Amino acid sequence: MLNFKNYKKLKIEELIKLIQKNDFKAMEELVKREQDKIYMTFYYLCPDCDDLYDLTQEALLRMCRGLSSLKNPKTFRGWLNRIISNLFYDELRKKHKHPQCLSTDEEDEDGKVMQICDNCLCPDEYTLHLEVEDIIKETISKLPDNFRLVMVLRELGGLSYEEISKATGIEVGTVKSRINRARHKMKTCLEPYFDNN
Amino acid sequence: MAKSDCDKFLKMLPAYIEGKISSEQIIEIEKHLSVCSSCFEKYINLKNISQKIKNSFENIKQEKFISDKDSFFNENLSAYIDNELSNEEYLFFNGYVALNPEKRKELDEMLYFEEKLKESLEKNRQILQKDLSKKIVRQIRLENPACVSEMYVTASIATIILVLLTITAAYFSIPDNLHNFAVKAHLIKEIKH
Repeated sequence: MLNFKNYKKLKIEELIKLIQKNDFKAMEELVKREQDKIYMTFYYLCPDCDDLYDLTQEALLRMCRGLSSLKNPKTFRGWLNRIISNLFYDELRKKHKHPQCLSTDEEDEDGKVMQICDNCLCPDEYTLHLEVEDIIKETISKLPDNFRLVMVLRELGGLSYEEISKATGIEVGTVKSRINRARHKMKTCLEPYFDNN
Repeated sequence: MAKSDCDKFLKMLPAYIEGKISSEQIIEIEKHLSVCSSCFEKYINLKNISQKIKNSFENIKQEKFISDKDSFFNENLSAYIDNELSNEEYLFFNGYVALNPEKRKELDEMLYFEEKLKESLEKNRQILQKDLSKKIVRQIRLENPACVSEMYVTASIATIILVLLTITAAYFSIPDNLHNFAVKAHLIKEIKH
């Protein structure tokens, strides 16, 4: 039977249900909707990555392959971000970089919490032609890896703390404290630019 | 007083203290307490214990927040902005901010920063320069054995239909050709004569 569905008007959950019934038009629509969001997330998450297209493509492929086993379509957003987080961790491993700051949440021998190092961009270092958007990207990219991950998932993905916890395997309390510290850090770095604009 | 009566009312005592029984039962239990000194004594003891537990719970709750309001504010500022606090924490946070103009200012600054950050991120929305949807779907189709066999079946059916059409067309065109050939041959014969 011919099926004239308007895929553009369908909700994500409806698209997922159709994909699970092998509807490839629905899959195409879902990829179209998600590709820019995924690309944008990697843009901030892996600023040093040579090929963001490859990463985005891999995330989309993993998404399409795994959709048939996604039992509850309502958990799609968190589930997709778990794929993104895993790819991000893979990327870190590739660069022989160990995820930093696992210890920064814990207190050291003196009972002090390790500080995020000060990578604040000094306004004087920047010429006026630099856009505030570039400076935001630079500030996010200078955050330690695990802080950057939770911050990007929160600010770009709009995930709740619990969803971030499920996507990254980090405890909710740790997510909360990392977002708090990363946001304070970013605020200190970016405040001069926001005031001027 | 019958022992079974006392047992029945003693079982109801905790619910009576919590106020979780019907009005008929309350009348019944109060009637019994007024005449049975042993049950009345137990009721008073139980009520005291229950009150003490309630009070210490309240103290713990208060202490948890009151012990270090400043660090509570600092640690939960982001969670407040992201609407991630429990109702209790939210009320406490609001109350604390209302009484501290400095903290109110700090909260406002953070809200302003958050708003500006969101605006900038929205403005700098990155878009893929090429659409990956067709490529991804093609790849998934190739990986899916059911789809591959489906494609083969479709291709086979199309080939069979094509072959059948060719044969039919050929079958209908042959007699015409033969007929034309016969007419031509006849004409040539006549011309020669």
